This record gives sequence, structure tokens and C-alpha cells, in this order.
Amino acid sequence: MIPSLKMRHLKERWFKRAGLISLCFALLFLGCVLADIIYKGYPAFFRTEIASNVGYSLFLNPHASYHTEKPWVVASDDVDLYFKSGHKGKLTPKQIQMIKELERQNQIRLSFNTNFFLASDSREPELAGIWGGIIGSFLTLLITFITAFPLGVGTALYLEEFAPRNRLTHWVEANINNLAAVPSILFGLLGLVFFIHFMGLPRPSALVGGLTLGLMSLPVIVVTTRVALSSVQQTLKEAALGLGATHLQVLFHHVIPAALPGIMTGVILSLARALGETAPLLMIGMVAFIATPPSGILDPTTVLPVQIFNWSRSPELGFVENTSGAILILLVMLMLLNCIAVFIRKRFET
Amino acid sequence: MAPKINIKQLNLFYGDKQALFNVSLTLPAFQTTALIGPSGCGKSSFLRCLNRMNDIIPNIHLEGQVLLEGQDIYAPSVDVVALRTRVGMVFQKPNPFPRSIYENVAYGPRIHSLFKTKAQLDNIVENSLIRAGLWGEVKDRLSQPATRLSGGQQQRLCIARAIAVNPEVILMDEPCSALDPIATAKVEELIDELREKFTIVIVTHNLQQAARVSQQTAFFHSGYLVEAGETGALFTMPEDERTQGYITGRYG
Amino acid sequence: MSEHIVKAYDEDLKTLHALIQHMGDLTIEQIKKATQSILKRDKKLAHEVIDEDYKIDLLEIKVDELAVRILALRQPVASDLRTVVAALKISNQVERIADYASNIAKRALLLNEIPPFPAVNGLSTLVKIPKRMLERALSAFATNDVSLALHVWHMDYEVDEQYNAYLRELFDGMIADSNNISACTHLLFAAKNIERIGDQSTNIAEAVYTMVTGKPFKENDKLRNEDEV
Repeated sequence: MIPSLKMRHLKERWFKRAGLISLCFALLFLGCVLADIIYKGYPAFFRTEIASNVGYSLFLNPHASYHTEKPWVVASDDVDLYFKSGHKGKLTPKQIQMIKELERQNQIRLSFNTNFFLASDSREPELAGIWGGIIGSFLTLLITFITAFPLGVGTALYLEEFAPRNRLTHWVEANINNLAAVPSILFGLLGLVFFIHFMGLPRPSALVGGLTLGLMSLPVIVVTTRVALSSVQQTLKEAALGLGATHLQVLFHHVIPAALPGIMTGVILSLARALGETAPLLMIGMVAFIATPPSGILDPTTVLPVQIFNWSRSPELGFVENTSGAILILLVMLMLLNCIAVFIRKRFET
Repeated sequence: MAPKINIKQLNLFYGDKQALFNVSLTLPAFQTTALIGPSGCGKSSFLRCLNRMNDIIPNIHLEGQVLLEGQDIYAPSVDVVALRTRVGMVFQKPNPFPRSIYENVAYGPRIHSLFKTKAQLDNIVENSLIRAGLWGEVKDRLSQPATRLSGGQQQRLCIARAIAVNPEVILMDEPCSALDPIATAKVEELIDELREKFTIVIVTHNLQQAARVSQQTAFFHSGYLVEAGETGALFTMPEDERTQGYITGRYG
Repeated sequence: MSEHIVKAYDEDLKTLHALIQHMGDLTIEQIKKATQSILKRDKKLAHEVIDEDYKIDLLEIKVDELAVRILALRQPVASDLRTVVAALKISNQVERIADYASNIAKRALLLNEIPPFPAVNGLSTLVKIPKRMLERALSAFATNDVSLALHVWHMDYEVDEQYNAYLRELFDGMIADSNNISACTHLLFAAKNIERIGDQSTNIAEAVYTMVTGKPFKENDKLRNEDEV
């Protein structure tokens, strides 16, 4: 029997246990955050409506009250809040009495909040929606993808396969690696100075936002693409070279197809990061309140995370559930992107 | 035997480090030449000089001549792509492309446009696989991924892929080091058959393999070609003390 | 020559050499005893020689087994291969020589049945050179000494001369007195066996020559090399 054996096994067990405990902690925190967001956010997907034949215009949202041909109209945020959570807010006891009366007559109800998905931003929490933010995010990401993908992959290809190995390329490589770790707000500053002040592009547009996020994603895409390219087995390249393939043929027939899952994963993950990014967009002035969805890349645009940021700063209590609801939507979109990345990896990596 | 490749006073440098010193060797046509020697002796570097596979390594510098049928392959007029269709290569680890068996063999003919019709390509693929002794094993599953084949089959597929472009010389860099004895025996038998149409150069760490498959053996040590000669003679009565020490397993 | 990286390989080869050496030593002892048994009409000694022949047979089997084992497991090449092949040949020759010794002892038993015969003493001279040839051939094997091997080969001429002289002596004896025919015939066979020991020793020398030089032994090689020696 080796004397230290018991101790060694003991250490191993403790190490495993410590790992398990830290994992549990992480899961606990994640669970708490998710639960909190879902708890706060899911009421945002429902809204309080009052039968239109009731004459209590006081309870009705002033904008909605004109659509009297509809049997049900949207209640104001205070009523909505009281009806959902019992929070009295600014309501007088008499008004509360009236709501209870309506409830007894089945003239007030909760229904699915299509408005939340189809409307753009609004000063009224019960009328505000995320459609403008989603369209904005989509347009911005499109610009990011169009600029960062070809530039990033091209740069990585050149550096990995063609660039001479000298001091200059080493310097460039080191700086690209450093850029990948630069705080995103600095890219916002760069975008502000270069795209807006220098090039004079329209201020809170998807174009400027996309270009700025593209700049931010570029180093990450370059780095991940290079890793993917360099992980392609040398033997595969040699096999093709040995058959008399040219360097370009080796690249396009073998190296890129083999590296594609890695490249795509890197690109999608950096797009996911860009999708959730707020700070650089604040720097370039995309924080403005925009009530109509953009119809082009030059229109004033807001994106989902910025909208969440704006809502979270709003004084109305009704925006609390909107904020959490929008966060849920953003999380779902991010998860979808990550799922696509995993799917691509699994699909091609055999 | 007519010489296929004639190497004259070859010196190879990786940066400042010299890897080969004044190597002169003649490779007779339609014979197998085995290159043996301890790790780092330069035998693989030497092999890779024969189809300019070393070109992809930066800071490489070469002096001397490698004459393929009298033509220096390092002359400026020689196109390296054309050279590699004449001098094919099989590597240490079986490295089929992650494609179908058919596409693996068809790849060379495709990039060099060696056929006009699909039927011709089918023919090339079939013949190459037959010559590599693999046709019977794969003819019913040509569209399956090559990576599903066993290691030995993969290596024979790589040989089929190499001969599909109809080279004159086949270089093999430790082709059996990853294979079991049966797969090794099949590859060795194949090498012996291929000798009818190709000139073969094989690097091996397995001395018995060198003895089994080659007609000529060259022993490298520390970048020098110590001794080259008829395989039977080299393994029974080596002339150089270092060869003797290496092949009998003594300290050199 | 330097040692093998695998030490057990060296051990195997050393054992092989030691076995051959042991065989040789025993055989030389057998030759001595067999000759003595004739000269001294020693029946007991003759029986001893005959009885001990099996030891050499066993050693030959051991050498065969070890050599085959080395061939199978170590796959010797170059000088090692030639050593093993030479050991196989040499053990075979030595075993034959031991048989000759045993045959000589059998003649001693037969000679004991008949009256003493003076020509017997010639054997003591006749046996000297073949015995020395065997010693030297084995020594040449142990030390990879080609010149010694060639020397052994050369010694065989002397053996032949002495053998022919002794034969004439025996014939003369037979012609002189027909009563001697029986004794002379036995001695003739004994002498023939001794002469064969010389021949076998030259075979050993040839095996050593091939082992060291890697070339087959040919008459003209021998003559050419003889000038150099």
C-alpha cells in the first residue's frame, strides 16, 4: 500500500466536490436572475382591457379611447398595474371601488398583449412595444454582419495563410488580439469620432450603429477565425499540396470547409455579443426616444438593449414589467443565436 | 537500372541550421529505395526535397541539384504544381479528405483536368483503387465518407489518390507507422506491386520493413548520407561503422 | 564493438558464445581422453568418453534453440546475424567432432581385446595438430580473428601429410605381419577420425571467415588472403 494514496484520493474527491459546489452556486444565481426576470417580465405579455361601453374615460388610455368601435379598449397603466398586482399607485379609493365594480360585472379583463410585440416605443407603458427595437436590432446586426464578416474572415485568412512571418505581421497580430479585449465603449467613441464627426453619417441610424458594432466584432472574428483556420490539420493541407493543388485550391477546397464550423461559430457568437451591446451605441447617440420603427438603415433607429436601458430609467412603474419583458425577448434571441452556433458546429463537425 | 532521380551535392538549411550536408544519391527507376536513420537525421527532410514539399516552410534554403530525369526540379522554369503531379506523396498518418471515397481519388484528376467525361473519371477512380488493392473492399460504398474506412484502408486510399494523377515517383513518409501488422503487410505487398510502374522512395523507422520492401537502402545520420547500397548487402554487411551500429541497435 | 542498447540482446549473444566455448572445451577434453584410452589401453576412460558424448549433443540442441530464439525475437542483422548463423554452423561441426572422439574411444575398446601394437604411439603425434586447430578455430570465433581462422585452414595441409605418413606406417605393419591386420584396421579408423577432426576444424575456420568478412569462403580468397597474413 502506498502511504500517500489515501490522501491523494481524498484530495481528488474534495476537488470534485468543490467543483460541484461552485457549479451549484452558478446555477443558483442564474436561476434567481431568470426567475426574477420571468416573474417581473411575464405580465408584460398581458394587458388589462376594459369593455368600451363602460363610460369611465378616466380609466382609459387617452389615445385608445377613440377607438370606440372596438368592444374592448386598453386600460391606463395605473389600472393595469392595480388589476395585475394590486398596486394602488395614484388611484383614489373611489377609483379602486369602481374597478372592483367593473370586475364584478366582467367588464374588465386580461388579454394577450400583441401590442407589446407589434408597437414601437411610447411614453405610455401600456402602449409601448419592442417592434421598433427588434427591427432596429435586425438592421444594425445586418450592417454589422455585412461589414465584419468579410473583413474579419478575409483578414484572418490573409494573416494565417499568406502574410509573411515578420515583425510587422507579428505586431499586427498582437494588436488584433489586444483589440478583442478593448472595452466596447471605446469602439463607441471611435464610431462617434469617425463615422459621425468625420464622415458625417446620420446620427442615430442603423448604419452608424452597425458599423460601430462591426468595428467591435472585427477583432473577435479575426481571432476566432484564425484559431479555426490554424486548427485545420496540417496533414490535410499536405495531402492536397502533395497532389499538386495550388495554395488557393488548398484553401478553398479543404482549409475553409474544414474551418467553416469554427468560423461560423465565432461569427455568430460575436454577432450575439453585438446584439446585446449597449455602451458603444449610447456613445453614438442611439439613446434617443424613437417612436416609429426605422424603414431604412439611415432612419433614426433604436435597438432592443438600448430600449431596455431607456425603459429601465423611466419613472412610470408600468415600465418595470416592460423592461423585464424585453429582457426576456432579448435573452430568447441570444439563445436562438447560440443554438444556431451549436447546431452549425454539430452539423459540420464530423 | 536507369536513374530516375539523381541528387547531387544537396545541402538544406532551415534558417541558420543545416539539415542536410552534401547528399548525393541516385534513385533507380522502378525500384524502391528505403531511407533509414535515427529521428532528426534528415531523411524526411530529404524526402520532402524530392517534390519540393519543403517549399511551404519559411526560411528554407537549398543548394545542389535534384535531377528528375535530368531536369533540375529547383530550376526557376519548373512549376512546382506540375512537379507534384510527377512526384506524388503518401504521408505518415493516413490523411484522406473528409469526403467520399470516390471524391478522394477523383480529387487529383479533377484539379488537373485529367479527364473529359464522367465515364473517364469513373475509370481513373476504379483503376487507381484496383491498383491500390482497395477496389474489392470499397466498390459498393464509393459514396461513403473516406473517414469511415479503417486505418489501413485509409492509407491504401491515400495511395490510390496519389496514383490517380499517374505520377512517375511516389514518396512515402513512414506510411505504415500508424498501422497494425496485417495492414502493414498489405501496404508492403502493394509497394512491391507498384514498383512495376512507379519509382518509390520510402522513409521508415522499421528496419525490417526497409529490408522487406526495398531494393536499395540509404542510411542517414546527422544530416549526412552515411551509406547507400543494395538492401541485402547493407543489412548483412554494412560498410560503415555507424550503419552497423544503427541497424544492429548499438550506440552510434 | 560497442554494446547493444538492449542489454538482454548482448546477454543472449554472450550466452551463445559461452555455449559454443563450453562445447569446444568439452570436445577437446573428449579428444584427449579418447586418444589416451587407446594409448594407455584404458577401458574405463574409453567408456567415460562414450558416455559423455550426450552432453555435447545436448549443448548443440541448446545452441540451436538459443540461435532460433535470437533470430525470432531480436531479428539480428549485419554482424549479429552473421554471428548467429556462424554459431549454428559451428555447433554442428563441434558436435560432429565430439562424435569422432566417441568413435575413437570405441576403437580403444576393440583394441583392448587384442594384444598391444607399437604403431599405436603414432596417434599421439597425429592428434596434436587437429586438436590445436579446433582450439584455434574456436578462439578465432570468440575473437572475430580472420587471420587466425586462415591460419587454421592452412594447418590442415600438415594434418593431411601426417595422416598419409601414418597410413603408410600402418600399411607397412599389415604387410609385415598379417596378425597385425586387425589392430591396424582399428588404428586406421581412429586415424581417419582424427584426420576428420582437422577437416571439421577448417570448416569452423571457414564459418568464422564468413562471419567476420561477410563474404563466402572461396579457395582463391583464401590464397589471396594468405599472402597478406
